[in-house]
Amino acid sequence: MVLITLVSSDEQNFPVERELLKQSGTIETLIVNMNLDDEDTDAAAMPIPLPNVKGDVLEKVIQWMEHHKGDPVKEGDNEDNNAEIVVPQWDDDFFKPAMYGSKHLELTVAASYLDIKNLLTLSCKAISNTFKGKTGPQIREEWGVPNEFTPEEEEAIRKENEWSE
Amino acid sequence: MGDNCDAEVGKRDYFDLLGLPNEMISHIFSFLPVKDRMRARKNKRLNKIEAESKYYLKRVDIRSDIDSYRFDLMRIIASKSIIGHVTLRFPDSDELIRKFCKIIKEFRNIEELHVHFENEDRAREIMTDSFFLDLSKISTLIYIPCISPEALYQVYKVCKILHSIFETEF
Repeated sequence: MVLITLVSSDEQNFPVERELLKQSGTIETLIVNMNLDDEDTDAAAMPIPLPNVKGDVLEKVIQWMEHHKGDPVKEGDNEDNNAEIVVPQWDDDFFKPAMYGSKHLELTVAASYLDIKNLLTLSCKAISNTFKGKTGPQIREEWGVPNEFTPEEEEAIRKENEWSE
Repeated sequence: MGDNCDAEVGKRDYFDLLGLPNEMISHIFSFLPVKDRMRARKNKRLNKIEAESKYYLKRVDIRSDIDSYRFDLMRIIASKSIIGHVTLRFPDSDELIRKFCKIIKEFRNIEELHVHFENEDRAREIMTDSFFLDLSKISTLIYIPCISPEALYQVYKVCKILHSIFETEF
């Protein structure tokens, strides 16, 4: 089993199974460009620095990739049926503890930076689920969105929203 | 509302949704059904992001009891949506018919369009070849009642190029 070492922004080393990293478009490109797959390259001697990802976040990302090992990675951006995507129970449990905390935000940003499409999709879907069925004031409170609309603007939006009720 | 958000941010661990870049918020919005997405427009930035995001809608029903606010909203959605199934029920009033004809042209990408009329004479009046032609440009599959053979032939010539499929009942 080939291991590749990822180095987080706080300089922690994470030896990760080569196979898992196929899920990350960013790392996959690096591996190819650095010829780490070549037999005569000593992959263990060439760690990949990830200056935008902190150690605790990278640990979560690797944990997620381990669970999703072998999942097909979807090509391109297909946003056609996003409203119908369901977050599997395992992922829901994985995200939940940090859902309203900065850790989930960091995980989502890392998924975007590392180009892990399935993680980004599920993470964003989980965030979007927190909006579902909530009233305006609840959304404002949960996500800390101050009201900056004039009463007239707010009324116009409220009337538009009625259409979709 | 006297929000004390600033004071709270310092105190507790916080998911700063508004700290995310627009593209990512837009991506998050893309997972929401229209109803929730509309309701998520909680400040000017979120409103703008919502306005610029694309939609995929599975099913839209345009009925005759639609009011002006809904027309405005429909226009917003029409121009940026891919819609699976649209049902258009034409009303029996001249003013509304004009509005309906106008709004349907705002749509860009419909997979399946079903058109219904309350009144058959009215249907023949509306379903002129030019209007039908417009419909065939926005939708790949059209189900339509009451269209004259002449109009259908005109459209057929164009549809061959557009790869549209349609069915009709005479």
